[in-house]
Amino acid sequence: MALGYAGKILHVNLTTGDLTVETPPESFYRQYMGGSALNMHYILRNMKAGVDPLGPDNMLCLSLGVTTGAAVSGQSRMTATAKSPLTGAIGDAQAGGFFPAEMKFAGFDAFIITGQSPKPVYLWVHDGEYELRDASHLWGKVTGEVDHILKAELGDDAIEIAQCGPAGENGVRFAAIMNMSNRANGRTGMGAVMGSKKLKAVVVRGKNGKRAYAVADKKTLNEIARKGAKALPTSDAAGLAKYGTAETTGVQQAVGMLPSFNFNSGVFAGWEKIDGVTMYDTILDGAETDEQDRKGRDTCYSCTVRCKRVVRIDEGPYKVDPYYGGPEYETTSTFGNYCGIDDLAAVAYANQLCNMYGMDTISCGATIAWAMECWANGKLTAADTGGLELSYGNAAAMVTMTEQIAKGEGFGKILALGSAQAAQVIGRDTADYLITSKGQEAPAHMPQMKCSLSLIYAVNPFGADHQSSEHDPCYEGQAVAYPKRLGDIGLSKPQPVRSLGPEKVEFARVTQYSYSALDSVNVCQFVYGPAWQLYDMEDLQQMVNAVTGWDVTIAELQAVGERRLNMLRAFNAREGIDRRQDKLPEKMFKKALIGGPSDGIKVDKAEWEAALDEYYRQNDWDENGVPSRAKLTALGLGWVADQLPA
Amino acid sequence: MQINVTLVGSLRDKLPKAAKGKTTLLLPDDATVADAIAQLGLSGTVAAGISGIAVDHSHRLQPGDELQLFRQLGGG
Repeated sequence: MALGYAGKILHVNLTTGDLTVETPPESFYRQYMGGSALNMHYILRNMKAGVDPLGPDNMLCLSLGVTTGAAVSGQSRMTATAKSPLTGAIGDAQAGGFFPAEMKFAGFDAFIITGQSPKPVYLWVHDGEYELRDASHLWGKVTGEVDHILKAELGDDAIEIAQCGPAGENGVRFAAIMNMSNRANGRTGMGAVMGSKKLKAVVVRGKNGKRAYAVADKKTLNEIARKGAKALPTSDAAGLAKYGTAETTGVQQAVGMLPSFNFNSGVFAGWEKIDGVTMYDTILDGAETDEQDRKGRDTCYSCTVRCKRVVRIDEGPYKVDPYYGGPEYETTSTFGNYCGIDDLAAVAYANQLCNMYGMDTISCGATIAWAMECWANGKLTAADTGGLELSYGNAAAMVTMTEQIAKGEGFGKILALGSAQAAQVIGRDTADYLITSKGQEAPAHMPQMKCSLSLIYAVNPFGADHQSSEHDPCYEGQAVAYPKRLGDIGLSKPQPVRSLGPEKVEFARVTQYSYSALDSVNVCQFVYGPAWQLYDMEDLQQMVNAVTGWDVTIAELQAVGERRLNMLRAFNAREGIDRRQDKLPEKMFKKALIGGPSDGIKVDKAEWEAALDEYYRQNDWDENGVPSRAKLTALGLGWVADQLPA
Repeated sequence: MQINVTLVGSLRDKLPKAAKGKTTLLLPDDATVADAIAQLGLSGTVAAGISGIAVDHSHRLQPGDELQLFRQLGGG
């Protein structure tokens, strides 16, 4: 094995059943590092424009990074990339857990999957060996059942499984790829692509790989690991560790940034019933005996943060099995405040359904919230929903609709298309209530209040996303909140609150490169990043070098991120997706927020359009947002420029 | 002067659980947000708002202000 990376890529043709191994040179890994940058190399080189996202010509690429498997926090991530059936643009999603590290230990950096199998199969990869196996007996089964069957069938409880659930088999446009039955490559419908290929699961095991995993500088790596563990209790990530991502619910509520009632308000009266502190005190496994720090917090491979929630509910209408984990902030928001629901058990149960059937909780909850606003405005009635009253606050209806979507039943068949495609089917001006960019539902951070995010939601190549740049508050006010960390990437001019001038655009763009680099090195954005995270970009640089023996700089990491971003944008340009699709939902310009500190606020369209022009200019893209040949060439992507329309 | 303070999210652990993150502070008349943070003994990066509107640490407090303090988190 090379230092950090396996040095092997497995190519899988599901139509022919051919499996071949490629051994790229070190320069390939240094250029892309892994993750979606590596995936885009294969997609842009081998996939023609205009393919059906659910057809055999779409490619599904699952890749790790050069540090995956190292004994340090935040490195166990796997990225799935393909053309998205939700948006028609590029799709991209990351997941943590133990699957990524085990995949590395099994001997591979990436699986590049093409074609479509005539029958359900699973890919079994162990200790450098690989084969396709029949999965007919797994088809239609929920994630937990598949886990148990495969562990028994292969006689090894330590295997790791990434799978599409029944939602992926049913073509739910926002189906996820699940591992551990509670970690999701959630966004953009990668599970639907997997299901369309009749690839039920990818199973990995590396019995000797962990012991054989070699790094260049073990002493430094150990020092970085110890530094993180020591810093965590007093770091800004401490609350994330104890209370999970839903710690932020109270913060968002306090400043009018908690998207409620399908983004019509920034406050929700029932917020305290669904926030991370309440979850910790009530339904986290072990809460009854005050043992939730031991039982109710799970981790990813070798991570000290332990932010994952494990919920147990044994009584009442919504029983939750700890096997399926617990809801993140995004999930409590989309099924909770988006829908005006303050029933934490119902929210946790909807989360469980998503994990069992394999669905993105953001798009699922947000699509239901959109339907609820349509209902509130008389655009949907009981005649559409099969008698289900889809009103705000109706927790039982939300749970029923989640189940219908997963199973492709009733009105759920329509909502399984995602809100943007469903609005096209339904008509009746239901599109007026969409909160989508490029057809993907907005996550739980408000563009009306975080102005740089209003730009990133629109320009992000795979649709509205909250993990593609740093958020505004750390660069607003009289002083930069993280002067050293943001200074490392050249940002030292804090901006007024709710501003979107050229300097704020620069903040959005430069931190977008950072986050893009994180998704290429393939590390967790709660553990590494340019602001509040446990480790900063300098720590990441040192970690990469300790593992690989390279001498990368922060600037080189930023360039990797910029390279990935340009590849994603180039893919979209090939598909005819450009400025015309770089849009924010119209209602965010037209309709002011109601109530709380954000009452009366909406996005200023003229300022926003000017910021879009400025963003393109700073990126050296043309007026339509297409990367220039000069920029692509400078990034070592001249071959990509040749693919773009003249 | 007296102000009302709400410690949001994990910062509420600085107070007894029954307080649910709420307390009052007695401060000099020319006190700033930074003085309130210091009196509470909060470390790390703390962001502040008054009645939901973000303010800097140099902001001069007024009697009866509703001050909220929280960690500066991004996505999640």
